[in-house]
Amino acid sequence: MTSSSFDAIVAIVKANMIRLLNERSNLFFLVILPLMIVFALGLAIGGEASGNLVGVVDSTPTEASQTVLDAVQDIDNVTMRRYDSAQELRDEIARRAVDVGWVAEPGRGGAVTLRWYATAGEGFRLREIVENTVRSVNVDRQVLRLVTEDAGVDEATAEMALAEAEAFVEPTTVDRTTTGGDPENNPANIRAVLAAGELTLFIFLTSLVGASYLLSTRLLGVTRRTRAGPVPVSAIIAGEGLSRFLVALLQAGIVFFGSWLLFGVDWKAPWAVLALSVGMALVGSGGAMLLGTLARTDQQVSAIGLLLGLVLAALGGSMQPLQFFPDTLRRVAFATPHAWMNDALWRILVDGEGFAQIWPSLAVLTAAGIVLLAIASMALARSLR
Amino acid sequence: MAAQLWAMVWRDLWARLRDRSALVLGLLAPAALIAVFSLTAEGPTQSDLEVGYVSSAVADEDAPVALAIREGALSSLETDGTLTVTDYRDRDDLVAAIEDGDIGAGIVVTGDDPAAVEVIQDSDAVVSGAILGAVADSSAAAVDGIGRAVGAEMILGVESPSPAALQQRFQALAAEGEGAVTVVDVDDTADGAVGGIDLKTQLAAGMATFFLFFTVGFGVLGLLEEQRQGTLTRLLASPVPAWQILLAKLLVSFIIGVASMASLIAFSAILLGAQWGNPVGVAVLVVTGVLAAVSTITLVVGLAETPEQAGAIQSMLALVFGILGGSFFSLARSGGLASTLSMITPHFWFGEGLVQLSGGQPWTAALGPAGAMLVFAVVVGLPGLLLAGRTVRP
Repeated sequence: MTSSSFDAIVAIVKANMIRLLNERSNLFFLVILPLMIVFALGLAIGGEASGNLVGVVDSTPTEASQTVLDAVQDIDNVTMRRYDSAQELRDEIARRAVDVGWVAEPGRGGAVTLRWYATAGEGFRLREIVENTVRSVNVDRQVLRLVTEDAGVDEATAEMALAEAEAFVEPTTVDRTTTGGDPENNPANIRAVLAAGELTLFIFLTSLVGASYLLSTRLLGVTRRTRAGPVPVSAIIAGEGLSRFLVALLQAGIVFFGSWLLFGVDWKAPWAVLALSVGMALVGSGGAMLLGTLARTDQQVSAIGLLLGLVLAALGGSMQPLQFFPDTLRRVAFATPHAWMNDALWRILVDGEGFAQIWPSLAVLTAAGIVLLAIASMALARSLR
Repeated sequence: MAAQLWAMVWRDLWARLRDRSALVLGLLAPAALIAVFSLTAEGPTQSDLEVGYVSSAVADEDAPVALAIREGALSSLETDGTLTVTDYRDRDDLVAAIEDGDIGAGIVVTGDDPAAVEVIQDSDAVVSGAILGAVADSSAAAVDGIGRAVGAEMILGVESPSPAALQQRFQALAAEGEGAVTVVDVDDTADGAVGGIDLKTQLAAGMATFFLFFTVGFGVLGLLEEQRQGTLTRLLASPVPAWQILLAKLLVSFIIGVASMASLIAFSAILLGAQWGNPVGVAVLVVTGVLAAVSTITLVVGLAETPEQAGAIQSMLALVFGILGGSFFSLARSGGLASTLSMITPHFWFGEGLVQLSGGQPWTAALGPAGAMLVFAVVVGLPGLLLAGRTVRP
């Protein structure tokens, strides 16, 4: 490479970077927006919100209703929300803010009826759990009634006898054991997977939307004038390609380090994640260069950038993880680069895999990126002639 | 005069429609995302919860709690299709099955008097683990209760109380729902159906409102373009009053916005089976929603100096509102500050309107949320109109 080529490449990259950093709105799009989404997702989907939410209306709590409440609250993965009225509970279920719920209606003699609310056709499993919990709570009363009837005594006497008998009955023990490694719905894992999805999404989206820089450079005639100087076409292409690549890497870095430093996301195998980001950055740069070459207006770039950036991300598992896709759709998803990266990231973050296992995905991403860049370079070269 | 106005509106509309970006952002992108989300939201094929059971019988008979669990609770859960139960020979087999992924959780009963119940679950099998845990707890409580009853009756001098007989009477009582707490279904007709917005409609509404805030830019933003190109000055020099020029642009944005929403609603309803609710109610929501969007873009145009600046501010607002307002994921479940913040956005109120309409409610149910969007449109739009007016006539 001649020194003038090298100088030209450096100059082009520098010019692109200066333009990028000068536009203050980029602070929003590259930094604030992705990190805000990672944060909001953590709130919306991570933690309590991902488990089962049960709403309870209990304006006049009795011993019985309180016991059920305490027992259900103790269950792993169940969070309770209290409401003041049945209408409020119904509305919250309707907008899916809670999954199911009950309204406690006290009856005679300490009895309580729990009116069960759920969207039609949903909530059966939660209901089973609550019904069984209720059964446990009811045992004491049933036993009391048994003894009072059989022995012909009043409740107080029966209760005393039962209390005495308790000393002689060895209780059945119930133990719980958990096997298996890191659960996929461990809150830390959920947060990491969500951040991973955003990483994939933004590397590609920011690249595409950033194609407007290449577009305006071409439209303003800068590239043609550069061409007029002793600068070979290959240097211009290399300069523009490198600029797109650096922007993609910058975006990757912001999401990677921001998620880690600000939200405590544990990337588990950081070098593997960074390698995948580089592969995705190659794909993004290729896409951006192609878009910047073929598009004719700024609005076209934004519209197509947004379209492809969001749709491919959704299809590729950036918004809802591939694990939860229906089987056929999951296979289709791998037509997108996002799926390869998201799948590899899931395996790193949830299954604990590393370089040794995910290198095929890395290879596919890198190959796709190189192919796209090659096609884009040819297109740009043709447009410069 | 009205003819002049409509002439401008038509001309602008055609120009916008020929610009394919409007079609991409107003129709193609949201429709594609709605389609993808509908497909991904269907989730993997729901298999029955697979669980296992082991009883190491010490004597010839199974311990009472083993029977209570296997023949009582688990049997009935099998019958109603909630669980599929496989019996294993011993604990090691069960644990192996869990680790192989054949089952999610299992119950192991050992010993006789007292028996020991162990609930083993895979860390991912949250639901089956919880169900088995509840089953184990209730069965153990029942058996211990019978034990205490026998003991108490002996203390009280009842003649040889037979555990079996007590057990039967206990079952009868349990079946009758005797006890302090009963779980009862809500009577739909009495209390009104728990409507509930279905997931597909929620997704479609989210995408439609998100892209709406980009789509409405295609009219009003043209003001800044024309200002830069000089065509605005020429328009002002013509006998067309300045306010009409602004109004024409606003109408173009409004029409494009409504057209986009209507198409997406039709698309999701016809092709994907989304249920939007009473058509009049939905129409009210769409009109007030589009007004809110147009008011936002008007303010943006009033504040911005160049078309690029306006485009950037518009994108930022569209993104922030979309995220806060629940277009991509709902903040409603997280409670607290986040769900309160989301109430500033028209996106939230559009979704809320659909929630109120769900379950077959009349169109008037949408009035509250529509009102909220109208308030937003006025609060944002009035200053917007003033500022945009100054752009037209500095």
